[in-house]
Amino acid sequence: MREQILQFAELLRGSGIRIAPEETLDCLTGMEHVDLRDRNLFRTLLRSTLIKRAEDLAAFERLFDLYFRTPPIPDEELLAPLEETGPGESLREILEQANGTIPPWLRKLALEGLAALYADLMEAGRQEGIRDIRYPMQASHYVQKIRKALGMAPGDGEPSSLAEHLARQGVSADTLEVLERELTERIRRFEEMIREYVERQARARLPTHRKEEPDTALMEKAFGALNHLEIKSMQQAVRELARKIRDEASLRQRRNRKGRFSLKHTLRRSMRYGGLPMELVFRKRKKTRPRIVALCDVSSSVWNASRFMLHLLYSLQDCFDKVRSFVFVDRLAEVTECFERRPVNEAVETALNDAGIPYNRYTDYGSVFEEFCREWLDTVNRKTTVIVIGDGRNNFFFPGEKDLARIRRRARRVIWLNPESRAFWRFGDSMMHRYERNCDRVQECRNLKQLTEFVNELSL
Amino acid sequence: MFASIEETEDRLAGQGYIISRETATVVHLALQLKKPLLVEGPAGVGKTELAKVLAAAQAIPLLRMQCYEGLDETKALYEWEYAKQLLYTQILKDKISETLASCDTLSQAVDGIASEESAFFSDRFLVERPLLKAIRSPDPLVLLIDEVDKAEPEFEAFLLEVLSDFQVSIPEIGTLRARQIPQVVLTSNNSRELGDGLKRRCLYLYLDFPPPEQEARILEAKVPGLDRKLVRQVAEAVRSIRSLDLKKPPSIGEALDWARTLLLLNAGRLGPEEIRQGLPVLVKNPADRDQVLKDLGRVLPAQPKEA
Repeated sequence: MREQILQFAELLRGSGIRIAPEETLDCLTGMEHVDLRDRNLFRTLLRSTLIKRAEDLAAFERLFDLYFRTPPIPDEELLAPLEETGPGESLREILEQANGTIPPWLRKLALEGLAALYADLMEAGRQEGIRDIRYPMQASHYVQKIRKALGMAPGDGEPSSLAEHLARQGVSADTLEVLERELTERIRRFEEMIREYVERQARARLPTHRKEEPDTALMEKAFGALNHLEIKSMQQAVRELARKIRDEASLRQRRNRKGRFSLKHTLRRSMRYGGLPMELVFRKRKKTRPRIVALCDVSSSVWNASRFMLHLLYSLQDCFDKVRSFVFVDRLAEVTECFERRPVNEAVETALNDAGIPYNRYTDYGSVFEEFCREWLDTVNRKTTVIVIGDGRNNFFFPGEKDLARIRRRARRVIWLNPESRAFWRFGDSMMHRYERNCDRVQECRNLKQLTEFVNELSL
Repeated sequence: MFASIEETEDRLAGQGYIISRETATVVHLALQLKKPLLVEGPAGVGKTELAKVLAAAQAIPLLRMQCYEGLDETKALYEWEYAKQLLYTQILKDKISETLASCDTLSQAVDGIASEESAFFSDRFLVERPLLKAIRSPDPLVLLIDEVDKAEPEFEAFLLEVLSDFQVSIPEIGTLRARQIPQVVLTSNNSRELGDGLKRRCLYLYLDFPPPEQEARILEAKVPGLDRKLVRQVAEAVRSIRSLDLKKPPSIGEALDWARTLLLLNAGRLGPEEIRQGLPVLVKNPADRDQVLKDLGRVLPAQPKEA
C-alpha cells in the first residue's frame, strides 16, 4: 500500500501538482488513523494530505479514479491457494518436492494463490521501471518485461508440464483434470492481471504529458484562429491574467504604503516621551489609483480579439477604481456601467452586440476620435492611460490622427494594442503608421502570450 | 480530541454543526497528526464556524486571530510595552542613578546598565498577542487564524516558523517552546494564493456548499419547528439560487436566516411570494436580486400536483 501511495504521489507530480516529501509522509502517517478498506476515507486521506490547491482537486479526483480503480477482483476462491479449494491432500508435498521442475511462479500460484503473486507483480513492475511508461502503446513491451522478470516463459505450455509432473507422481487422472482446469483458469486471470496493471499505469500517466502542449500552443495562437472550445479555455486564461494584475497591483500599493521618514512628525511625537524619539513617523504615500480609459474596436474584422480584450477590460474594471470602457465601430458608446452591473459573459455579449451603436458599419477611427474629443475629452487628464484596441484599418476614411494627438496631449500616455500582425500594418487601409506617431506605445497583441507580456510590463 | 471519525462527526453535530463524513475525516486526521488545518472554500460555508465548534465540542478555549492587510508580528505575536518601560525608567530614575553612582567611567556605567537589562526586557513588559498566547498556554486550545490570505506574504513566512516548530524566538528573552501543541485552524477565501511552504505544513480541507440533504439537516438542527417538507424545499431553492451566476451566492447563514423568516411568517409552502419576501435576507446586491427575480421559475420548487 505504501508503495502504491508513493507511486501515486509521483503520478500527481507528473501532472504538475507539487507534492513535498513532507506531505507524502503525512499521508503515510495518516494511514494509521483511517480505515483503509473504506474507499471514500482513503480518498479523503490522500486528498487532504497531498492536495493543497482547490484548482488541483479535479485532477486529483480523475487520477485517483484511474489509479485506484478497483481492479476486477477475481473470485475469492481463485485468490486462495489451490489446496484450500481443490484437491488438497498431498498437493503441497508433491509441489514442494517438485522444486526445479516447475517454475517458481506457478508453484506460488498454486500454493499461495493469486493475491500473493500480485505483490510479486508490483515488485516486478517497479524493477522494470513501470513509472517510465508513457503511452498505452508501450503496454505490450512492459508486459513482456514483467513476465520475464517473474520468470514466466513466453509460451503457456506450463500447466501441462505441471500436470505431467503430477501424473508421474501418481496423482489420479480425475484429480488431475480438476487441477488442470483450475490452474488454467488461474493462469488466465493472472495474465489478465499483468495486462491490466500495466495498462492502468499507462493510462494514468497519459493525460499528464498531453496537458502542457496545447497550453503553450494556445498562448501563441492568434485570437482570430481560435475555435469554439479554445475560446472557452482562453477566457479562463484571461481571467487568471486579470487576477494576476490585481494581485500585483495590491502588492505595489502595499509596498508603497510606507513612505519616507518624516522628521517633523517624529519630533512632534517625541514630546510625548520627554523628547525621546520613541516612535518613528513615516509620511504616508498617497495611493495612486490608475485611471484607464479604454476604447475597443468591436467591428467584425477584430471580433474575436475584441472579445478577449473586453474580458480583460471587464476584469480590469473590477480591479481598479477608475476605468472607463468604450466600444466603437464608427460611433462610440460607453459600456462602463454595463460592465459594473452585469456578469462577465453577459456584459461582454452586450458590448459586442447591443451597446447602442450601429454594428454593421465600417470602422471609422477618424470620426470615433473626433466624437471622443467632442464628448468625452474631459474624462482624460494627465494621470490617465488611454488604451486603444483595434487594427487601425480605417476603410480609407479620414484618419483623424490630429484628434488622437489631442487626446495624447491631455493624457499621461496613449497605448495602442493591435490584434493584427505587425507585418501587415502599412498595407491596404491600415493607418497604423500614422497613428503610431501619435501614441506613446504601439504593441502587436495577437495572442495571449503577447497580451500577457503587455500586462506584465504595464505598470499602471 | 476525539477517538474516532464517527465521534468527531457526532460531537460536532452535537454543537449543531453538521458535516459530511469526508470533512469529519479530515478534521480527525488533523487532530491526530497534530497538524494545522487549512480550510478553503466560498464565503459563508462555515469555515470560521468549524473552528469555533471544534473548540466548543471539546470544551476548550478558542483563540481567534483575525488577519488583515498590515498585520505584523507586533500584533500577532508579541510586543514590548514601550510606554510602560519608559514609565518605569522615569520612576526608577533615582534607583538607576544609585546603581550607577559607584561607577567611575562611562563604560563602567554602560556595563552596569547592561547587567540590569533583563529587568526591562522581561515578561513584565511583554504584551502577549494571540500566537504567543496560544503557544504559552498550558492547556489545550483551538487557535483560529482567520482569513490568512488577507495578510501579507511576509507575515505568512513568519507564521510558517511558528506553525512548523511551535516555538518562538524573542531575541531579548530566548526561545519559547510550546507547552502543548494547539489545534490550529486556518481559513482562507483564496483572494491570494497562499505560499507553498505554509500549505505544506497543513492538511487541506476544501469546504463547499453542502448538498441539499445536508443543508436540510443543518436547517432542521438550527431552526427547529419548521415543517420538514418546507425545510427540504428551502434547501433545494437555496441550491438553485446558488447555481445562478451571482456575485455573491447566499451563505448557509443566510439560508438559516431565511428559514427563520419563513417560520416567523408562518409560511406553509414555498411560492413566488415567499421567495420574493426572502430576497432581502438571501441576496444583498441589486444585480443579484434582479438575476434571481429573472430566473424565479428555476428557483421555485416543482409544485406538487394538487388535486
